[in-house]
Formats: sequence, C-alpha cells, structure tokens
Amino acid sequence: MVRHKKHHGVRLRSLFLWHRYFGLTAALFVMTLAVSGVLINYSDELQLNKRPVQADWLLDWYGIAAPAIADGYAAGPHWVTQVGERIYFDTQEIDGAAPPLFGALQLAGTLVVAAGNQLLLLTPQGKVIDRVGGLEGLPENIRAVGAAGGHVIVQTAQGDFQGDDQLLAWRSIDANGVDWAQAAPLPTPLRNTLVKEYRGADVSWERLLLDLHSGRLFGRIGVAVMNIAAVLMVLLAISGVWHFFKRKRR
Amino acid sequence: MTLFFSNVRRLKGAPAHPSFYRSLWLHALLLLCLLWQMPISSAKGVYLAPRDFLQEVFDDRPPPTQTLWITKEIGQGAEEILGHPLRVMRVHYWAQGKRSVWILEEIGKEQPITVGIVIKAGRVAQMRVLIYRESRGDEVRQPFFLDQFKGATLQDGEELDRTIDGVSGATLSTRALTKLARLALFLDRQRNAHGSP
Repeated sequence: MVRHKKHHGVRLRSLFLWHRYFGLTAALFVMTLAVSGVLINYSDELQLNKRPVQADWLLDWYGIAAPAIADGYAAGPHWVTQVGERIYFDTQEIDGAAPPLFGALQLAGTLVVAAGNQLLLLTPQGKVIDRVGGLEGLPENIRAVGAAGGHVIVQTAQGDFQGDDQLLAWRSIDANGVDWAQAAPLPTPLRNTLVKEYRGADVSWERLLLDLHSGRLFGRIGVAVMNIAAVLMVLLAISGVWHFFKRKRR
Repeated sequence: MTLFFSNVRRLKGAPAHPSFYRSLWLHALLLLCLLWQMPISSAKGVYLAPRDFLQEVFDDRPPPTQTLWITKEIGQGAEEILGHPLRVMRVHYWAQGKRSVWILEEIGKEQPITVGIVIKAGRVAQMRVLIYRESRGDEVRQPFFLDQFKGATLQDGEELDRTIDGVSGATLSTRALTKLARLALFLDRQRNAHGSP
C-alpha cells in the first residue's frame, strides 16, 4: 500500500514536471498568439489592413524587391508608369488598371491610359472618369494608343481604330499622322518615389500579424513550429487538468 | 468504429487502461489526418461573362452602350447607398424599352463582385452574379438567394421594399449584392429623370 502511494507520488511529480516543461516551452507562443490574435480581431478598427509596413528589413524579409521600372509615358505634365503589376498616375496607383501599360496621352484635358484590355479615362487629378473595355466595343489586343485630329486612335493586332467622342464606338481607319504615345525615361525623383511606394504597398500590418500568428512569417518551418506549439498547448491543458484532478483525489 | 464505441463504454466510469489512452490518441491522429486531407474549394470564378449576360438578356441583340454621368446629386445618392463614393464618374448601361441592364461591381470583403442587374419599370427583373473573386461566400450566386430580389423596388431612403435574408458565412457578399440592387434601381431612376431613352 505504502509502495503504491509512493509510486503514485512519483508519477504525480513527474506529471507536474512535464506540465511545467510544456508550460515553459509554450509560453512564448502563447504570448505571440494572444497578442497577435487580439490585434487581428481589432484589425478593422485599427485599420491595420490599410497601414503598410515600411520597415526595409521587414520588406527585405518578405523578399519584396524593388521592381525594375520601365520608362513611363508623359501625358501633359503627368507621368503614367507601370511598376510591377501596378499602373501609377504620377505617384498614385490607378484604381482598376491592369498591366501591361501600352501608352498614355492627354487629350482635351482628359488623360487616356491604355492598359491591359481597357482604356482608362482620368481627370487631370488622376480620378478615374471611366473604364472602357471590350464590353463597350473597344477593339481587342491593343498595342499602342495615340491621337489624331482630336480623336483617340488605338493600334491593335487587327489594325488601327478611331474612337468616337465618348470612346464607345470604334471604326477601322488607315492611320496617318497619328501622334502615338512614346515611352520616355522617368525623372529620377519620381522613379525613387515609385520604388518606395511600390515596396510599401504590398505588406500591411494585418498581413504581417496574420503571418506571425500562423507562423508563415518564418516559412514552412514557422508553420510547423506553430503546429507543434498548438500541440504543446493542448498537452498543457490536458496535463493541467489531469494534475488538478489527481491532486484533488489525494 | 468499434474502437470508438469501446472508448465510449470506457468513458462511462470504467477504470482507464493504457490501451484506452492509446486508442484515444489514435482517434485524434485519425481526425487530424482527415482534416488535413479535406479539399479546400475556392469560390472564385467567372460564372457568366458580362458580354454573354447582355446577349442573354437582349436575345443576342444588345443595344449600344449608353452612359450616365455621375453628377454631384447622383454621386451623393450613390455614396449613401454604397457607403463610399462611386469609383467612376460615368456609368455604363444598356437599355431597350422599359428595361435597362447595369453591370456593377462592389467589394464583398476584399475583392469586387461583378453583378448583372436587369431593371424593368423600376423593379428588379433579374440579378446574376457574373464574376466572383472572393475566396468564399459564393453561395450568393445561387437562385435561392438571388430570387429574393425579383420585383424589389426602392422605397423612402433608397432602401429596398423588402428584407433580404442573408446567407450565413457570406454576410459581406450579401450586403454587397443588396447595395448593388439598390444602386441599380437608383441609377435607373436617375436615367429616367435625366431624360435618357
């Protein structure tokens, strides 16, 4: 009987010891998960999804390199540039514009940007007036955009087309004397600003916290470690409850 | 399964044998494996190309594109409905007789949902989810949900004259589609008020 009790005590001590080790190992992860979890829950209120991470070392960690910026298109006093998969009006990303950028020009106070399979019409302030695509009759496979006689001309694989005043009807033309939009080197300050803008726009604080929470911030190993931490926490809970009832029984 | 029931019997007060815990772990492991293998389906997709939607509505003869300029007054109304300003200053639509078709977009959670809406005599005649880009919540494209909008019209405060029952797990998509139905009805009223054909 005495031997049984002694044996029981040893087992309980060993369980307690395991419980402490699990607790100690899991502590760091519990803190990380709890803090990141609470912040993620209040992501909307804190607008974390709109706050870009700008620390260079974190962006380097994510492997976000500054893309090679091709030349831009001067449209009046403004520049339209493609950086990576984004199209910028000066330093402001154009809402709803998709690459590749084929050209941009200014016509009667309106900026016309040919990108992807659509034409975007912008105000001189960069606000999108309209997006015209195939649904509105824009010819497919645009290669370049230009102007002639106050009309917008698009060059496509099927030939050149001239748009009406609203850019909703297009007719095939033999283009002569078209002033095609030409790419030109960007001013250096604008190029530098665009690189910074582009890098910062990719990772928000919400993304960073989500990746920290899941362990993805450290790649596949990070996820595996977080999984092990989750198992440890389950073991911690089990050993804690077990220990509680064993002691109560004694 | 037999193992499971034997475990249940043991849980009912019988003293725990080491094999009991072993089998419990086995079950937990099996469950984990099953969860691991569960396919993760994506809701993303082009369900009907906007061009095909127009062809379908107008029996393969869609009318020319028309535009409605967003004046200050229209912009304010649209902003009240959407909760944010319209992303463009000119909206396209296609109209024939008393029918007008609007192809509009609104963000559900993170991505825009493209919806085709047919308005006839001031009421929603048809609504279709054309392109769904969110990773989940595409149940809103099912007729059981969209049919709720049929016949809906605007009442005071630019609200729909009926309650739209949401789809669980797709609350934001439900909200986006409801806003788009209201917006299409509002824009249709504006085009009539501004003398468009």
